[in-house]
Amino acid sequence: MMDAQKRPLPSYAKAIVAFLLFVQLAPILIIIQTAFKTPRSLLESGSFSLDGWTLKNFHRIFVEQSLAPDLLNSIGIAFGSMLLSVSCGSLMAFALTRWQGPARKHLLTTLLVARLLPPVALALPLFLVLRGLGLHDTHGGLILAHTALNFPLATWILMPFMDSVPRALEEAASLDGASRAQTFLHVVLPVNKTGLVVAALFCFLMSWNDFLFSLILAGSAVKTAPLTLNGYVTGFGTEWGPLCAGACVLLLPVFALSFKLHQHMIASPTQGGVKGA
Amino acid sequence: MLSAKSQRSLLVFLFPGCALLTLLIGWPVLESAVSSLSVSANTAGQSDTFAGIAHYKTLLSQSSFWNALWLAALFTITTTSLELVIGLAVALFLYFQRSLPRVVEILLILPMFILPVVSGLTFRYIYDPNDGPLSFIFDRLGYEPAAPLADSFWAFWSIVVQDIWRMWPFLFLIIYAGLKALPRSAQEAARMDGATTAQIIRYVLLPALRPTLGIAAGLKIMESLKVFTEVYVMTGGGPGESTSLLSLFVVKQAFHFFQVGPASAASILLLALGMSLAWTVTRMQNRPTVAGGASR
Repeated sequence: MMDAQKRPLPSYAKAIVAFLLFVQLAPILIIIQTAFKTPRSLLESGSFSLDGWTLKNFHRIFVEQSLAPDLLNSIGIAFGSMLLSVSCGSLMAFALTRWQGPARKHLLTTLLVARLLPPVALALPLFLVLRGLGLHDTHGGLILAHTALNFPLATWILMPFMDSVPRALEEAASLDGASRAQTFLHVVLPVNKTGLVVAALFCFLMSWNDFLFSLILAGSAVKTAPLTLNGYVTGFGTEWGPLCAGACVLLLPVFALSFKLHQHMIASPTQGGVKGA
Repeated sequence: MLSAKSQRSLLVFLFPGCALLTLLIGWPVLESAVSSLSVSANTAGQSDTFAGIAHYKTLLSQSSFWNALWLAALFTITTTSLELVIGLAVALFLYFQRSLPRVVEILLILPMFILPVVSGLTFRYIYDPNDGPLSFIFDRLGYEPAAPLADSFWAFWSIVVQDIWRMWPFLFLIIYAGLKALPRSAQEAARMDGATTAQIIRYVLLPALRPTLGIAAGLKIMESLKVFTEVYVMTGGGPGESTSLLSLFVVKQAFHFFQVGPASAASILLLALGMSLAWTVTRMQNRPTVAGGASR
């Protein structure tokens, strides 16, 4: 019957799973093994043998070239946008789940549309505005640009969490004389720790993954790591070793977070990509 | 507790977010709407002049714009339909074999989390005619090394392959979640009546899944419209214009050819397209058939 919970997989099913895993993981394994080999050892040992593994490529990108400052830029910008988006987003999400004002529906629609918009459509408009503000090619400009994408996302993720806070808790606080702001800071936020963490992780990842805005709204004075990585591709032949080493570094936080985020994505990816508490 | 005073105190909470939306979405969109309708001044002191729909006319008269639109549509249709089929097949398969550890599921969907730039560069490496694994395999099999990204026909399909690898897990996740949320009683009743697994899929599961499949397809169509980085790092839109999707066209117009007017017009058109799609998807989510829809 349906209850196959404890039954081991039949062998044809194992074969299918193995095939899917191979297809999905082979490109990633290719990057990893190229990152740890020099071009010569790649040719001599063929594919997945352990001979000739080396850290030379990592030495190249961190010591001879300078990936580190660009990585710091990436991290700083991702943190900045994360903080801005989550702080404004949590206020907005809280208010939107309590407020009954006339414009509530319009705000919700605006947020959802903003969350689904193609970033390319915003690239040139943001460029015009940031140039006007003198923020082109600055950390602040990129933080703001990423926030244009992250703020609607954070709000959307946080709304179900905010909604699940029992109103009785707030009423009790206000009976004890706490103001709305105090209630928010000392009652609502602590209860929503999970939601805040999930929203923060998604924002960080969105910003970390961004290439388009870094390309168009910055790129000379302020350069993020994805841009640097693409710079390793040249017309005269690409050194895939260092490039793959850089790719591995960029993938580290992504893979580390994917386990945490997967948990929140299963339930309902349609709902802001995550599940409520 | 919903006194007028406490309602008003919430406005303070709304303020920072509304300011952000105005600064980062409202103003930019307005600014580019204006520049799509005006000729910018050449010298300081001169003010912009109204150009009407001249930029839109320029845009619509360019064959490269129609090419970009066609490629975006082709890309969207092929990737969405293929990924829908793969996602549905894998979801159904796993649904009937429910003893898979969670780690296997995560490994299967891992490509979804990868940075677009890394995904694009990885496939550029795989397709590389000199050092790439694909050429290596071709060489071992005794064929000429392949250079699909330099071929105006294969470049497009190489990009489609990259997208399928990366994005079918996205559709799988949505469909699998929808599948697991279905009540089991109907299938069990069908099973009692002697229905085969194929019949259960065809007559019980698929009809119940229709709304989920609609949302999955809608969200993927939105995602296809967003695709830029992968294509940019793999081919840069080339060879020629063979992979110049709408998103690449807009960026090229604005930042390679400095055609701010027509590029703004294209951005506005893209925004309109994105907004109408987003609105449609939102409407689908609001249907009562889907548990936990977007409207609250």
